[in-house]
Amino acid sequence: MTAWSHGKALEFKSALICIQCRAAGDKVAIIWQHWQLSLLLRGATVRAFSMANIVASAYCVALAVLVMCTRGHSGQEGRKYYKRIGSNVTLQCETSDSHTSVIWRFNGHAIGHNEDQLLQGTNLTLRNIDSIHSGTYSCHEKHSGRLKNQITIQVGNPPVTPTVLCRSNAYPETFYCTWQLSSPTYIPTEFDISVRHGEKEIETIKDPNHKNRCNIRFLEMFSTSKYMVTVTARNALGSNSSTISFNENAIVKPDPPEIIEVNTIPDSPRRLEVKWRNPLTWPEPDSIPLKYFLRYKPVILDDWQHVEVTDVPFHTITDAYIGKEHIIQVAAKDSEVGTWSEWSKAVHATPWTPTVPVDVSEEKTSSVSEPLTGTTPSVGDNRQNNSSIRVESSMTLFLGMIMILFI
Amino acid sequence: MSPTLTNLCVVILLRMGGQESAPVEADRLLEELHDYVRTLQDKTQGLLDTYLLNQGVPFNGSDFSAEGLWLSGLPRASIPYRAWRNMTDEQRLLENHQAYSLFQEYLQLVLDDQRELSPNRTALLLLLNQLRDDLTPLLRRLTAALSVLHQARPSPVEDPLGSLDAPAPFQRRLRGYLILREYRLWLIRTRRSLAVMMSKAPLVQ
Repeated sequence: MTAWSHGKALEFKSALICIQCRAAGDKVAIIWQHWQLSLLLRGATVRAFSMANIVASAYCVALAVLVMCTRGHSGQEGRKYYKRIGSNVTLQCETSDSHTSVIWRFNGHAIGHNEDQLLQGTNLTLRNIDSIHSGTYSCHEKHSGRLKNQITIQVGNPPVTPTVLCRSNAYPETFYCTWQLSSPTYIPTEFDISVRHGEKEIETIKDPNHKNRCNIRFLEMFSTSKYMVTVTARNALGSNSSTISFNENAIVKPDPPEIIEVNTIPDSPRRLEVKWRNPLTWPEPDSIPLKYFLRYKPVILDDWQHVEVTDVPFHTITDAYIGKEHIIQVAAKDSEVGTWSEWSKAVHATPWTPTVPVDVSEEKTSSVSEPLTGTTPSVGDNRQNNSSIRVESSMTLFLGMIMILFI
Repeated sequence: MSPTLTNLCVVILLRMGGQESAPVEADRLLEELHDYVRTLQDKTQGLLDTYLLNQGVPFNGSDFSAEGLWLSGLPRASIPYRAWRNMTDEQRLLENHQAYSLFQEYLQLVLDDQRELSPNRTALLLLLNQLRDDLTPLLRRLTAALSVLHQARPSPVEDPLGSLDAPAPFQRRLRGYLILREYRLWLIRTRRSLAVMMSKAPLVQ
């Protein structure tokens, strides 16, 4: 083993692994095969490290053991590397003799060599790689077929700036934010989200039903402070983040209502009675009311009629086209802030149309009516007088009680 | 029908007529208030942009922001949803009365500042004048609504401007912006409060 000193290396070899620790300035690097783990020791330097520095040496060895344990003891086990699309990569076979004849396989199939897939000694160099190069590369001794090394490559991209959108369809209780990448990474990518309201950090809850979506509770209403949402996308090749900020009012957009009923009105060939219900996601329509926008047209025409409806979830169309099938939709908006919802699912309806007139002669036959019979007055004046007195007394008593109640 | 019964009927009808007039009046007052606040809101559309445009640099820049700035003593509109939702009608009317009583003083302050700082901006001065004058009918209606609830007339608010310094022009312009910003938020809060009260008629005493 050689001594530590500034810029020099401590080398640790065994039959299984060969690890080098290099110290330079305030950096320590552990190099194992084609892996390099670099550490920056803040506020300290390793210039003074020497063979006598047991702590530094122990640190290096401990890290080496950790790396060994996490990556397997045998060079023959598969390791996974992430590489950027368009880059070049050299895969080492790791034979003890560089003159040994080897073959390389890709996902078990022999690799044909060309200018982009070069065999250089026992190493395989891939140039200008693409996502189709993702897979497992294995190096075998040509004659015995013995596996010498196996490497898995995943080719992808670092994430581009995420696109972040926030919206509240449940004002004033919660809002949600979604994110996506405009171009794929082809490798596993994770996302972190942080939300602030003024100076406060707010908890986010991952949505169980939607991928790439988090739910956040509004802290308060009528606030001057903006919400600031930062989404960071991170994978093995890099990271990128995006921040948006907004006032609570700007993101309020209900889900569309649902038309539940369209009724025709007898003898009214130009009327349709439309009823709808609030979106189920809107938490408190009584205290945070919605207003509505209705649109309708005959199916055969292009131009819509529009009418704004406030306070009530129904409206009677009075200018429908006679006898024509209509298409009807409704949208909703918070009565004070935000934007209109998308249009509801369309409902089709045709106004009442008169039936074919019945033959006049048949009408006359059936229109004979029975003479009216009136009620006959009760018999017996005495009995009537007595019952009247009793009724009057009861009424007086009853009204007296009511009067007491109102007082 | 006997005279006794007739008299009783008349008395009861008169009494019932008297009972029904209180909720009807309360509903009418609330609706008037609701509509009136809407007209005040319409007047404040574009108010902040108009104000900033008339203040010069840096206020008229596209990246001007007063995020995180606050004027001490100004009634604050922000409130957690549940706390706002659980307020009684009386509390809502009282807090609105107090808030707009204070805003009468603050809007006068903005007007005085702008008369000195932007004397040639006649359209802005006219608008600010109207905003201040609009609060008198609003306060009158709020007092009437409180009266329906048999609440005493609210006591006058303490002058919020007594301890104010005379800051530099920049700070006075900024102060005006903060006042107008909060005023607009209060109008939204008032409309929402009235909507809640109207959704449960008559006024809960």
